[in-house]
Amino acid sequence: MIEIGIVEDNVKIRNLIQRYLDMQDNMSCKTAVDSVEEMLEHLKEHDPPDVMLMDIQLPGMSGIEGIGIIKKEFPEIEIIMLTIYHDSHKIFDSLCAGASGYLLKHTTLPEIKTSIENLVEGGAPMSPQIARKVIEFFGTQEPQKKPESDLTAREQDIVNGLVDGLSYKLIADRFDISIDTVRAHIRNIYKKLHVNSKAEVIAKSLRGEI
Amino acid sequence: MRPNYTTILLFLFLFAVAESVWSQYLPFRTYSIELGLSESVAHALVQDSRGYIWVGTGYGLNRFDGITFKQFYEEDGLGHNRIHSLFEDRDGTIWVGTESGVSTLLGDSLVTPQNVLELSRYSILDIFQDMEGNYWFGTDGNGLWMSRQNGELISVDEKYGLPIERVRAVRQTQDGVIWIGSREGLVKIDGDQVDFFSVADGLPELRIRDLYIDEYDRIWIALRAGLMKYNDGTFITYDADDGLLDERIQTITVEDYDRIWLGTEHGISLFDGENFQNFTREHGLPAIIIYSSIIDREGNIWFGTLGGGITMYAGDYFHSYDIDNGLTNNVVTGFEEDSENNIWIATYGGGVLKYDGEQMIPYTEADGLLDNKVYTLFEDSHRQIWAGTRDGISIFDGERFYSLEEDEFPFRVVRKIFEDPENNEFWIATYNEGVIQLREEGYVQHYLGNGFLHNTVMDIKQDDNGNYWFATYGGAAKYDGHQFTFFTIADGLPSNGVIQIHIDHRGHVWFSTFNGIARYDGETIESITESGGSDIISYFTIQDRNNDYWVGTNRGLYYIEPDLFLSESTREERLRAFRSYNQNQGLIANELNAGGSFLASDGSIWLGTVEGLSRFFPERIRKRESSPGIELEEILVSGKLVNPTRSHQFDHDQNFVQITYTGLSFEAPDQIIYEYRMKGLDQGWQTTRERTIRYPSLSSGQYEFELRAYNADGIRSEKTAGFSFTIMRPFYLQWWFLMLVVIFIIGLAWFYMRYFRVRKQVDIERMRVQIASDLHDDVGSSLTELALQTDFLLAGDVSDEIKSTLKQLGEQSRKIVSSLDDIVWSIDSRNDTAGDLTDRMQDYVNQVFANGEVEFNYNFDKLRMYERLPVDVKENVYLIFKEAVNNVVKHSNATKVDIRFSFSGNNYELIVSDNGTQLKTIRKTGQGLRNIKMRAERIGSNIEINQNGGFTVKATGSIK
Repeated sequence: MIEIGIVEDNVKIRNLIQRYLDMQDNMSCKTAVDSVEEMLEHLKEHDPPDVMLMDIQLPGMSGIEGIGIIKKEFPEIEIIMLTIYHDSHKIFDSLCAGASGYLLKHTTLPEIKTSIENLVEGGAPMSPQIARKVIEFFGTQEPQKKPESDLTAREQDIVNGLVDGLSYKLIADRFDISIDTVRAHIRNIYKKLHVNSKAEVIAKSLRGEI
Repeated sequence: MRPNYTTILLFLFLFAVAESVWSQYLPFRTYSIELGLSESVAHALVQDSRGYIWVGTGYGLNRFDGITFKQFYEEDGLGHNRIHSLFEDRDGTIWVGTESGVSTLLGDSLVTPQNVLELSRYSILDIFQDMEGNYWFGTDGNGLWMSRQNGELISVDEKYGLPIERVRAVRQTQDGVIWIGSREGLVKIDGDQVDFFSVADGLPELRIRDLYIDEYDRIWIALRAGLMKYNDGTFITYDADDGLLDERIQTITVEDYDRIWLGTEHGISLFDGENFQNFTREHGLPAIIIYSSIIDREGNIWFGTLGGGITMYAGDYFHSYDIDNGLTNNVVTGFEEDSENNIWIATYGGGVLKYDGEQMIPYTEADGLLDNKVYTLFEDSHRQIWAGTRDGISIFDGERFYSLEEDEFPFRVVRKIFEDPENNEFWIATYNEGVIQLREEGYVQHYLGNGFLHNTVMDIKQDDNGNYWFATYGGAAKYDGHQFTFFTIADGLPSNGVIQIHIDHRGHVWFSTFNGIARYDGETIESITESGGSDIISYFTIQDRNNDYWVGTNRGLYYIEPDLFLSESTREERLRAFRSYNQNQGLIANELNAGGSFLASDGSIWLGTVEGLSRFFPERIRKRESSPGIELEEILVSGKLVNPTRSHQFDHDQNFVQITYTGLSFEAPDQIIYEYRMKGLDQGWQTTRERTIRYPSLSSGQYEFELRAYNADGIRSEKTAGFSFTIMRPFYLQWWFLMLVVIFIIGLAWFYMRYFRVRKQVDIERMRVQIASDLHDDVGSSLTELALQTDFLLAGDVSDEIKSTLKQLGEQSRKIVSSLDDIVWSIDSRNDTAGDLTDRMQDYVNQVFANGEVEFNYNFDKLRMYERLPVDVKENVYLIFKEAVNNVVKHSNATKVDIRFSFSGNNYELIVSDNGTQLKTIRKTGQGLRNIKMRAERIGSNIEINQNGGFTVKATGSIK
């Protein structure tokens, strides 16, 4: 059973998604709140969900900020951003903050369900836009960063493939690996993104830049 | 003009005879403490190469420029205020020998050179620089010292074993031999050969006070027992027996071969090689103990005295007398020379004097004179002297004066007597009763009452045509024997008060008036006035034997050049036509008297003044041919002292320039004429007598001030003094400031343009974001809701028909959201780069061909990812791309699509080509291609659509 939480300020959308996911046999969605603050309140008294769907534009704290706080306290929660638009800047910021993936709201409900399943199984979506930002991000990293936070050669290949506009399947074909492996790699890339993003913040704060 | 020796000899002879009776005053001009000299005891004199005369006194050093003394004392660095000697070396440095050591002048202060500090214990009696450049210092009590060129100071006494202690003079002959005058005797140093001369060698006396080596290489030695001359190996001594005034000679200056000036303890003697002419207090010397003497560049002889300061002898062209040396009264009103060449002198209150060349014999009321106040003298054709007095006419019969009887001549104040022997009549000018035509048979009175010009008649002259000319206080009158013609201001006279008439050698008539002189050439009357027609009272005009014109005024005697005057036009230019001889040159007083002029047969002019008479020898005047010095004294720029030897820059408000200067000519320092010009302001030379020029408000620019001087005889200074300076433009007129202003204005304009553009752009972007945000919030959410609702319903138990409808509903909603997404994306200013565009393209492809059945190849090699694209270009290129891809999706069987996009920052090119060989469906409307063309048109892009062997859409264009 996958426990799912939703942070979404649009009540109708929130209710639709909650009801649909809760209807699924392998899913349970008991928590659906308006804001990050409310979710944090909830988490103090309840068990954390396995997956959290989070809007970016929220009243009060923004979703991106919320990811950072929630991930800090509950690193095991997989957070999926829910957004209406294909706003790569915000999506990338979310990924850096610790999100494991993102979904567009106009994605159909069955697709949302599949994505959650994929995520739980270890997959992650990455568009060429995001891939390009990933390359940029790692390309401009400080040279003295820890080796494990650097992209591996395979990860680099996958990102490059994504930037070239290859689908997961084509990437999998090109490198002779399964699509799941591609997803796992992408997931891993997201983690590194998060770690390095934090490291970068720390390094910047040490340098007095922020 | 060279001195006339026979005249001098004659004069000397006369002088020797007359001496016991009277001596005349000579032109000694004295400057002492009253005029600014620091002390009246002048020990030393020197003229420097610039022209200043330096006076070393018992208290202080003085620099004299002819008008003022500038003083230097111990506080200025002088070793001691008591000065014994002065010397100017070849570099122009002034050396001062003081009571304690040597000082040299450096700028405005005095310093003691390091190498002669040792001499500060001694009095320095003489300083000399020899031809090799060694300096010699004669001390009082410590012998002679010499400072070599390398600075080494040695005792000459020690070097040569000399016994001299008080060294008064060191000189050098042209062959390089050094001569030393000391109290212990005369020393000659010729290389290593040292000769010592003492009594045994013919010296009458050892104590030598001065040495003078003249240009004839004669050595003149001043002793306490007379003058000694050393020439060609022999000594000759001259003493009181030869006529020397005093045997204690202090100083010698040689003016010429036969003019050797000696300053003694009892006056001055001028030695001509045989005889002495002596000058003492009676000749005008201020003091008789003479310490020092020099001849300046103009030939003036200067003497430093004990108690009388310094005195300058300008020449013997004025011999003056007053009641202290022979006159009975100082107011001298007229002269006459009788047929025996005696000069008769009329005084106002002292009767008449007869000067026979030796004595002045007075005749007064006691001798029958009607009145001691005599105005005029006249010798008639019977050699009788007529005296016109305040009370009628007295005539001298050789013994006594008798008077014209009252009935014969009932008039009193007689100013002029004139005889017409041919007509046997006299014309007599009276002060109040007109002019009297006196004949044997009676008189005719011409006066106001019978139509004459004025009752006061001052002068009578007759021209070559026999016309009579009368000077009256109502103008001038001419009488041709039949009628009078009158000349007044209306005819061009400068004043109706005509005092004297002179008819010159050309027949021109000169009127001397209360307002200058005027000349009548028979046609017009021309005023000739130095001051341009103001208050100079001219008493008479007279010509000397050379026909030069002399005018007696209330400011002295003037030499005038009428031709020069009349050829010039401005007052300043005309200044040069005048040259004054006044008290400074030896005239006894500047206030001359009406009628007080007379050209004697010997060429001398007798001049009567209110303070005595001067006998003037115009032929002895020696023009000063040496050029005067010219020095800038002080330059003040808006009150700040400025050094003229450098060039200067001043601020625009530092523009009050005051320049003070001195021309250095001592014969007549007050008559120096200056020419100056300020290049940058006026290019022409201006003339002035002032010694200060002010430019109150010079505008900015470059200036060069130039100045030169003319001495009283018109000789110009050799050098031109000057200095140059720049007055800066105010900063607001300087080029850099103007540039700054221009740049500032351009910058401001640019800034405004840019600012408004940026602001506009920012506004547009804000609006775009606002629109995007609104679409997101409202429409996007609602549609998403709708789509999710259908999804939810689909998940429930519904019929297939409804399911299909719901599905369409959901898809349609999502399609709208997707389009909306495109619009929001395109207007979101964060997505404006070329890279954003290609990302979006790839996303779209991924979305449409999620299953990967078509292979997409991207070529973005020539894409500059970070170059921004204009919103419309970005949007339309994306939509063209979308149409092209949709075309593939909908109509083609293509398996491979090539996408190429390049953007250089200016030009872009999008190529979408597939390998589809046949169409999946029949194109019905061509709506897609129309859309592509329409969008391309919007952004001015070229579209090529090619359907041969695949389908290619190529859009190229450039951004503006």
